[in-house]
Amino acid sequence: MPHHHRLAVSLLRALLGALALVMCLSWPRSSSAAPASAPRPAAADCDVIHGLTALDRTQRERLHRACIDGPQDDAATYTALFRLVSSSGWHAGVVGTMLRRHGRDSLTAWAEGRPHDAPAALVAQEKLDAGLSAFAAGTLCKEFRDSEALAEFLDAVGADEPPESLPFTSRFATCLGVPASTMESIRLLTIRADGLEDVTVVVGTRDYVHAQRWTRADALRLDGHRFFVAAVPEASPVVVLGTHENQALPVVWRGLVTRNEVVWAAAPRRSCLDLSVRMNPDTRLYFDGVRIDDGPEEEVCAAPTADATTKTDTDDPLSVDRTLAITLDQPGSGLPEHEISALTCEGRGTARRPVVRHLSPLPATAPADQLRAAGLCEAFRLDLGTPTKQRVAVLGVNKLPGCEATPLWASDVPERVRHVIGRDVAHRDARTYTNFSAYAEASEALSSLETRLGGRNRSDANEREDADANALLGTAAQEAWRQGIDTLLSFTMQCMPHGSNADGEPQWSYSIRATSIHVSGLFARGYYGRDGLDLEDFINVESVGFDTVEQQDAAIGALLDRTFGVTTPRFVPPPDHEPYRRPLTLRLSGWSDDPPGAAAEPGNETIELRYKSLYGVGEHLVDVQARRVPGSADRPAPCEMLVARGARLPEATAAAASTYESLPTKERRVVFERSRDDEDVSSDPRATVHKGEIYLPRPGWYLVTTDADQDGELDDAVCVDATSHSIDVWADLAPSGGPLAFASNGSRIRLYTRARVGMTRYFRGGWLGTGVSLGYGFTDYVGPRADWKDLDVASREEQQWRRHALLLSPHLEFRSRTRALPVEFRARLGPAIDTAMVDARRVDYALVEFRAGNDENAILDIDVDANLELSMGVPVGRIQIDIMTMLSHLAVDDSLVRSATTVVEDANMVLGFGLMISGGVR
Amino acid sequence: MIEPRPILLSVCGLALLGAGLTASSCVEVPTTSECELACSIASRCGMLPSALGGTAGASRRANELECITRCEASDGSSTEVDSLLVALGARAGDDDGELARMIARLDKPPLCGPEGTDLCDDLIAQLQSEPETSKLEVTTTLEVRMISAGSYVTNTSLRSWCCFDYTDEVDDDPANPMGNEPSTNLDELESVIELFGPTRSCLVELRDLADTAIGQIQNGDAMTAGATCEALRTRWPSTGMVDGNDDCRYAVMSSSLRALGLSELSCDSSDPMELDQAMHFVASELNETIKDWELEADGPLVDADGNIRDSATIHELIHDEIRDELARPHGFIEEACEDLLGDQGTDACEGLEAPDIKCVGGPACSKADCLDEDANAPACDTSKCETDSFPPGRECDLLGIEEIRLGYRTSRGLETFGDPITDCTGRTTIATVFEDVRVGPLTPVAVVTGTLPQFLVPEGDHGTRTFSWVVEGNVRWATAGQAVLELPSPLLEFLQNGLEDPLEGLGWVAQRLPTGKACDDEPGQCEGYFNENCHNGIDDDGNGLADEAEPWCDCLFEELVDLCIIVPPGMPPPCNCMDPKPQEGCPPSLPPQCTYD
Repeated sequence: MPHHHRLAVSLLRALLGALALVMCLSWPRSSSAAPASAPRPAAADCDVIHGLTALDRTQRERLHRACIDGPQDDAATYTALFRLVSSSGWHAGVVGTMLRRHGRDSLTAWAEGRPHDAPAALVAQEKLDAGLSAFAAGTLCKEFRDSEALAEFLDAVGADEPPESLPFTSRFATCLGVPASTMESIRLLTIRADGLEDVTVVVGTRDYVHAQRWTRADALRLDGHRFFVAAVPEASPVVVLGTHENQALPVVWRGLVTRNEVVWAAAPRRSCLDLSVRMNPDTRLYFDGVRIDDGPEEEVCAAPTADATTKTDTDDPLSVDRTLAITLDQPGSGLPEHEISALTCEGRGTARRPVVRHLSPLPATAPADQLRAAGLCEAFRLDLGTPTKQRVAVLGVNKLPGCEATPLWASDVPERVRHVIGRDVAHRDARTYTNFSAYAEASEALSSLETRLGGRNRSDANEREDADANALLGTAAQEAWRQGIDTLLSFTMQCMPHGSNADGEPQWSYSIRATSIHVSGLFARGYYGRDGLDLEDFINVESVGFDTVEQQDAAIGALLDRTFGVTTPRFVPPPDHEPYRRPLTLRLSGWSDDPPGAAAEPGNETIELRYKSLYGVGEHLVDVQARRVPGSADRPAPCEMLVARGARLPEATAAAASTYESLPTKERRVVFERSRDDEDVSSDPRATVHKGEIYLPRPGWYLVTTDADQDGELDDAVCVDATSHSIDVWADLAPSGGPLAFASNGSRIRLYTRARVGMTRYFRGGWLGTGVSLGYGFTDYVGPRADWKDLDVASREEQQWRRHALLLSPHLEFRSRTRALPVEFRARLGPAIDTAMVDARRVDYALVEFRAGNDENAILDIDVDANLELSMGVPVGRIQIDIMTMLSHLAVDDSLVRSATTVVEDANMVLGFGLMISGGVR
Repeated sequence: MIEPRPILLSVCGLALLGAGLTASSCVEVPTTSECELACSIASRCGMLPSALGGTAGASRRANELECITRCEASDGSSTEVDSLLVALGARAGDDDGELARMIARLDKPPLCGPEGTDLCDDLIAQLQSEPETSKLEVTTTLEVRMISAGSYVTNTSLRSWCCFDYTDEVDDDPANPMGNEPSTNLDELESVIELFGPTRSCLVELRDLADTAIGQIQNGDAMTAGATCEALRTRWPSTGMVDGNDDCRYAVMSSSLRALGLSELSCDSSDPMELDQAMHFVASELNETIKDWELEADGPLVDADGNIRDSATIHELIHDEIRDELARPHGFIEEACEDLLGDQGTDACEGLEAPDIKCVGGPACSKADCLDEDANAPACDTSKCETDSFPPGRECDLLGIEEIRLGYRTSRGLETFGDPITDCTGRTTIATVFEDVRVGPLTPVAVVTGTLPQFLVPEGDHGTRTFSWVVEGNVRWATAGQAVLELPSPLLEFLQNGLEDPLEGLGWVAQRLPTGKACDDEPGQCEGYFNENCHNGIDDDGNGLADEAEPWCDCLFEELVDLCIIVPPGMPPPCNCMDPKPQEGCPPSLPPQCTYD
């Protein structure tokens, strides 16, 4: 507040105080005289009327005008006042404010808008007021004055005990001159007024509402006690408002008077309330209609202030820290609920109007065992400030049926949300996560609210349903609002089974739905004003699907982006690995700040991605960064910080940008189009998903980045791993022989066929691997002897023998692993332990040396082979078919130049062409 | 192309690649040059395929390469291999390699000449005699096959048969056994031309005397006719002593003329009828003889004036007649000669060069050799390529053959026969296979038995007519592995006899039959004047003919022997027929042995 403005207010206060003093001294004491000590309420005190929820907007404005300009006795005033006196709570207390502000001691509003004959209660009250002074002096109705009943009554009052008898009865009234007939429908309400500066009694009947204000001077003094005796119609709602001389807060009694009754014979118990409220400077804070902040006294909308919904760093919040004595007594003590309300002004120019910033009740009664000692203060904290960061709380997480069997654990969703909001580059400066205390109550209310809002056939015109919805919001959102929470989030997890994997394990897809209630917007728009707001405007539902539990963080991040309208695109839930032979589908979730329905700009239709390989060809084996990080999922170090995909850590994004720039590998660019797929289209047209495929040229990790706004800073980055299956099981079959078999002294292999089943385990990068194979080799030899042996056996027909071999071979394999070519090349080499049984049945027995001295036809032969296979293959579905060239040096332990000099010397070079089947696109 | 020999280090290097290698792989192998030389000798001597290398049915070239490959894979340090290399001249040794070195120095394939053949035969014998190499078995699977005479002629000597010439008759064909060169340029026809004139004069004179006597009888002058008969009888030489100027000096040698009994003619004029019959008989027989001997006027030997033609004309006429006989429609080798000579017929013989056979008398090329176009100088007889041979089934029927036993004869005269083959008429193949036959020059032989057909039996012969002929083919080198030796049916020898001897061809003497088995086994059993067994009533040689029926009992054959036209079976040619003649000169000619008393 400006300094000169404060000075003017102080001067105004001083003038008003002087004026009141002059009036008090100069004006004769009369029933209509204003109380001398009561300060006249300021205009700002009338603003509390804007928070009277029992009234509609028109009534509030009319009553507020009456408070400012003076009360009227027309029918509208009656209606408003009767609703106030009939409603629960303290709201009728504003009548006292009006009377005090305008120095009036009574107010009568007629239902018909015009005066009637004086009702019996007013006639009786007049007689009573006239006779009480004489009664107190003992000049009138002395027998009553001296009666034991009065003495006992006064004794009990003096002991702060409920009196057993009440002397102020119809007889007393009659004694003071009230006609007996008048008292037929009148009951006397005796009010103990010790310590009260004034008392206002508001009575409402079918015909009129009457408010009577007494000051302490008007009280009946008996033995040091002061009393007011009010004549009220039988069974009419009555509100008594007492302003205590030492208390900031009034004492309110509310009830129907069906018989003569005494109020506050024993002073109502009081409790201590430590009120700590944090609010903007332009906010007015009221407790039971009494302004308790030290702000300016002008009306809340008198001076231009910042928009309540606009949060600026210059609006330093105020703190109102006060200890209040509030009434808290047992039920039946006639104490209505307390109410704390905060008002602020909304709108611009002529549209400015007060709105309720906060409104919450506080109990005024409690069971006897729950009554606190007067010295035990209850803390009540209220945050009504407009923080620079939006406060977000998670109301609850609900797992729909079907998720029980899944590995998804919903209980940690709030913590994940906290992580995202607290650390994500797009969230952490704009909002903050806060806990929501009244969880159980609010969640139940919100759940009911969701159920109700979920009905599509809900009619906005249905007042009753609106009222119910409002009540629910009043429970949950209001509590959240009271705690300074701007947005309430509720999550629902849905789990859909979709078959099983190869191991028979059930597979799931998940969907997480966020229901957000923008509480700040709801209340800032004047929810308490009963303006018929469409609640759906404040409730937003977004959902994101994902396939694996590991993608949950990213899904939550994307969900929060949509919920809060974050325009920075985000990779949503990216599969962090994909076989390099397959295109990797990536999605970027974003949010367009274009108004719904606006023509999409071309820039929003596409997003360019850039990506590089983290490692050059072969660097996997030598780059220490590529080695397995303990505890990580085989992920290179630069990607570690990008793992927490729920939160795009600024330092991670910066590190990714730095890493990306330093990568010497080739940069590739790809443009993603905005996806129109069903799964990517949200109910919110501003939620966008850009989808595309990138082709990773070879296995390994890639850093994919996007800078959608092209400001030179990465918006998001993600590491993806183009995988190649680390284990490949293969089978090959290659025939050879005839002209494809070579030996220096002539190959005698007519047919060589080798069938093997093997397994290769690849090192990182997938292009180098080792493995082992087991195979069967069949060799059919036909030919003459190979050297000068068995000379005594002349020329013979060509000999024929066969070899059945069991081949056990370790191997080293190189694999091209690149998408640059439509085919894949493989080279495999290694030795083989060749254990064979030679079938020499068809070898002439006369060839003793050629049979290696064996008479038996089954001859064991163990050799060592050297194998080299070159293949070229293409994936065909789940398998890969390779055309293979086999080059094997059989029996390297036998001399190639002396091959087949015996049936167990079988060194040969064989060239074969065959097929190999192995794992496909993996 | 011989592949480069991998070095020993590479062998060991490869061996080191394997785990737990055996040191046995690192053996000392012979060098490529050693193996090439050794296998070249083995191949040139037909020792492949054998344990040294090669496969049956493969070409010589391939076998040699395979031998080299085997050699290079052999353990050169072993005694056997080392000895083989030494014996085959590939490694220095004692004198064991001298034969191989001699073979290597030959300027032509050794098996294509007698010298090389002998050297190779000796080399094989040496290998078998040495203990280190005696294990080496160089054998073959020999198939002896009898084929038709036409097939045989077509395969071996078609040109000489189609272009028959007595100067270079069928015996001078390129497939002359073991490369024996034709001994002389003797023209057999020229040798016998001198027989024609006096013999015709003799026969005409005798016939005229007979005709005169017949006229005289018809004129009733029996007495004069008796004198004329007496003159005819006295004109015919009655003893073996014939004046060298007597026109009847040759005719008297003929068995058929002697059978007329002119010297014992009865000229009794008292019985004119008998005299007339005798004169008619003599005149008729003489006319028949003149006709059969081609001595009638305007024949191939005598012109229209009754004069003996000049030798050139006789040559031309005789040759044309024989050629026509061989190549005429439905002739013996008509189709083959037509293929050889074309439309020009025998006129093409003038410019027809001798076939370019690089290995005359060598082993027949195998099919693989024939297909080896790269073989510029195969050590085998390429004349056997692309020929078809047919079994002599029809000829068996023609000659009355009932059983055939096929066999072979080594250079050392050892004969081996297989099981008898009967019913050769219905067989598609007449062959016998012999396993493990030692390689070397082999002669296919056959013993053919049967009964002479009627056309081969002279009138009046009363023998058993059962025959047992010996037939031989040309001697060839039987190479290792597989070898095929062909021999003709007996018909060929029968035909050949008639062609090589002009008198047999002209019908002056009976045509010789194939050699009898007994004659082949023992020359003394050969039936003929030279063994003086022409009157014992026994078919001594077993060829089906006995005594006078045996051609060799005709004394004209002695004249033919003296003229160096034929050689008696089992006997050497006369000294003056030898070429070259002995340096010491021939002894004086012996008086005629043939008696025609």
